[in-house]
Amino acid sequence: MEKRWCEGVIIGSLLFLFCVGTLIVVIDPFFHYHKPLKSLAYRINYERYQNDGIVKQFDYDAMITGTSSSANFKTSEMDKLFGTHAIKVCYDGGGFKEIRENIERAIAANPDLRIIVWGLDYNVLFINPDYTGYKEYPTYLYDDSIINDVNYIFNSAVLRKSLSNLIYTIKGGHTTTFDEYSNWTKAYNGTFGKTNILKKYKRPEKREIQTYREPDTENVEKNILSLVKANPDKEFYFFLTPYSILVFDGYNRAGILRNYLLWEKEVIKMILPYENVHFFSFFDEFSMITNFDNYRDKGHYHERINSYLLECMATGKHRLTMENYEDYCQREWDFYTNYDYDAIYKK
Amino acid sequence: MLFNSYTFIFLFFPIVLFVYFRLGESRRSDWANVWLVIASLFFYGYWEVSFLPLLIGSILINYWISGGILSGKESGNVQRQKIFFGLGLTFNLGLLVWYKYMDFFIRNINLLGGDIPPLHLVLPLGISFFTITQVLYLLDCYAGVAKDHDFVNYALFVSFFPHLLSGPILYHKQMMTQFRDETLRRPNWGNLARGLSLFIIGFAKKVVIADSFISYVKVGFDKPESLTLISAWLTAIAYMMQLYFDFSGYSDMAVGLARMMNLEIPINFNAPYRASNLITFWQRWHMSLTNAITACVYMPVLRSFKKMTFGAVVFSSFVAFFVVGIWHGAGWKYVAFALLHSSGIVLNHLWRHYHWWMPKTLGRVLTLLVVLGGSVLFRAESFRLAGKMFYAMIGGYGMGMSLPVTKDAQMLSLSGIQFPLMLILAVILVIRCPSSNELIKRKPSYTSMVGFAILLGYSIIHLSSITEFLYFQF
Repeated sequence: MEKRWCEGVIIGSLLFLFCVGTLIVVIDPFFHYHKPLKSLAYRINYERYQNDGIVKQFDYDAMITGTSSSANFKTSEMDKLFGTHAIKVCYDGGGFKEIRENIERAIAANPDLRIIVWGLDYNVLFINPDYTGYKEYPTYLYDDSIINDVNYIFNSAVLRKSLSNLIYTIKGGHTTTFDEYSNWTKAYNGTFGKTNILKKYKRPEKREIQTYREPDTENVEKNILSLVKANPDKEFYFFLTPYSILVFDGYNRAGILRNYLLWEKEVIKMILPYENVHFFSFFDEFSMITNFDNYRDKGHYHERINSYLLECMATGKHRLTMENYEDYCQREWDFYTNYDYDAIYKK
Repeated sequence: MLFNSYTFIFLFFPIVLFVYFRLGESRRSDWANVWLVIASLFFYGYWEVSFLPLLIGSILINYWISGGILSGKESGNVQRQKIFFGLGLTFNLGLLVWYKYMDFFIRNINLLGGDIPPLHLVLPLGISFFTITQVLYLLDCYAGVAKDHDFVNYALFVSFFPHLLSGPILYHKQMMTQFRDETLRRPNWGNLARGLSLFIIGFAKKVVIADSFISYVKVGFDKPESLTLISAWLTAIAYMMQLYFDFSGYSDMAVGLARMMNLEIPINFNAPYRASNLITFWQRWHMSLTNAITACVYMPVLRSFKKMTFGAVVFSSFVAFFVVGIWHGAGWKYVAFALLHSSGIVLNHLWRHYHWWMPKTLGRVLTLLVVLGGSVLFRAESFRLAGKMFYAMIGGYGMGMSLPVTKDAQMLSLSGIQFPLMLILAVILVIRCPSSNELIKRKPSYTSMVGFAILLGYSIIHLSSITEFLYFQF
């Protein structure tokens, strides 16, 4: 009996694992093996678990990426404006490194990809190029190794997600659209505007203006330019995320505003020469930047701003070129170095 | 490598077991022990290969030292015995002090005005266990109790992978006779069944129950000021459950693995949270450590007294449990933990000695409160945070009920109703369920076969989970 018992336990557990694994592979909630099944509705709401599967398995010829600043873009609008079939894969709190790696995997997996729209977060341009927002990533989903897929197919949380997709389908749900995916507008409804923002914002202490030093552009070189150079056949639409005037207030209080504006100019000079780059900045649309109704905090803007950015990118408005960037930088300098930041706080 | 990992379960252990029995059934069955030594060193090195020389070096040096003591015993050379024994104690305790306590001493010297740069040494995994195992062996050699000096068996005794990282602490007397017994190197289906069931129970305790509390406990202990009274107590109790199920689960796995190889190693837990007093608690919690400290500290201190008085017993208990406390780590919170338990033990002795009134239920509650207090000290990152946790537990940050969900939380594996349900399940198991050892004594049946098969599969799928990436505020 004991021998039979041992054999029964081993075989029984292997059978259990086989059933679980099969269910997960068939449903594949993270699209690691295949596209979403047409007969199932999938909730797409786990960026770092699903983005990789999306870029490898879905059909698309354009992608929108970035951090939460890009999360409110609507791919339906992009498709109308650019004539594309786009996806959106954003990384909340992400650094350039993980976004670049995802784009590389997309390019490797999808030869049809021709347009990449990437919102470059203004405040992380000059940070450590290897910065990642989190300690643990499901790297077993990012590689082609089958061996470490045990972490995926024998995973209780993935099993729950698979089963919840089944239940969601039965209840009449639909697969999350890319307009909806990562979009945080509804969650922050009612939190826009000056009063709400200033409640959350802590104005930094005033410091002396720092002397100029050369910018550390390794993040830009390693994570942006390397991509651009390696893929001359892809069109890159970069834009500096249009943070609110409060960000500039913060830089001004910290004594780094002038440096930052000069560094921005250096980055523009680095990126512009490439023919496959369309580079945009909206910091000279001062009425937008200073209108707090557009923001829920000092950096996150309403989805109508995302729509406006897409329209500009399609028409070329606010595009920086070798011919106009000096004028842009000068307008920017004149405005932000002379702005009355204290007036923001006056009632 | 940990027991609760895909590599261990699907690759390492099946291969080790298969080869062990194949060698055991061959003409040179002693190679089975050599194989276990190799496997154990591989197991240790898999975690961090740079520490493998430390383990090997410790084994070789202690083997040489024990050889010196034993040759002194043979020749009747007491001086030689004393020198080698002293050398052994100095080496082993020195190693432990160096890696575990040096930075603590440096920090405190610097607080008093010193300027010594900290060493920032990484604590080698298992160093406390393989050091104390060898100290006990040297003690037994010195006392004339240990005589076995085969190198392979000694190396296996120290490095045996089921016990190497987290105990139980082994005794040479119990192990050496087993290592010598050739009949144990052949498969025994009874032991395989009991070992497998104990492993599965331990595995489930660790990955299904203990690990489910990790993120909830982390959130609470990282920011105790966000906790109200009830949530503070829930967090502390959750940690008590996490600690028990994690440690006892790992011990069950260790005992189960050894049993599958026909080797009996000491059990480490016997329903400690059902103890009605602190002395009984420590006789049921990490039992091998209590026994080791009794042999290494309590008995020598007690024997140093001329008369065996109650005071001598109390003092020896205090010292022994103080050592138990600081053995767990280097820091003032461990000193506080040590003081809490050693004072509690002294009080317990007084209660027993003077036969003061103590109903069983009250005794259990008080014991659990002391253990809870010790757990808070143990878990908190610092003395200061432990203090904040205690303050939260008396309602210092608010009364009422709130789950410690903060905007800074990075991971939440349990939310909503799941956490209270898991906590209730854990408490019920602790209070009502038979201990693991009692469970495996039951005869195998088809029902238990199905149950354990599902439990094993269910536990395996709990090795991986999903991390919720909650966005930091801008």
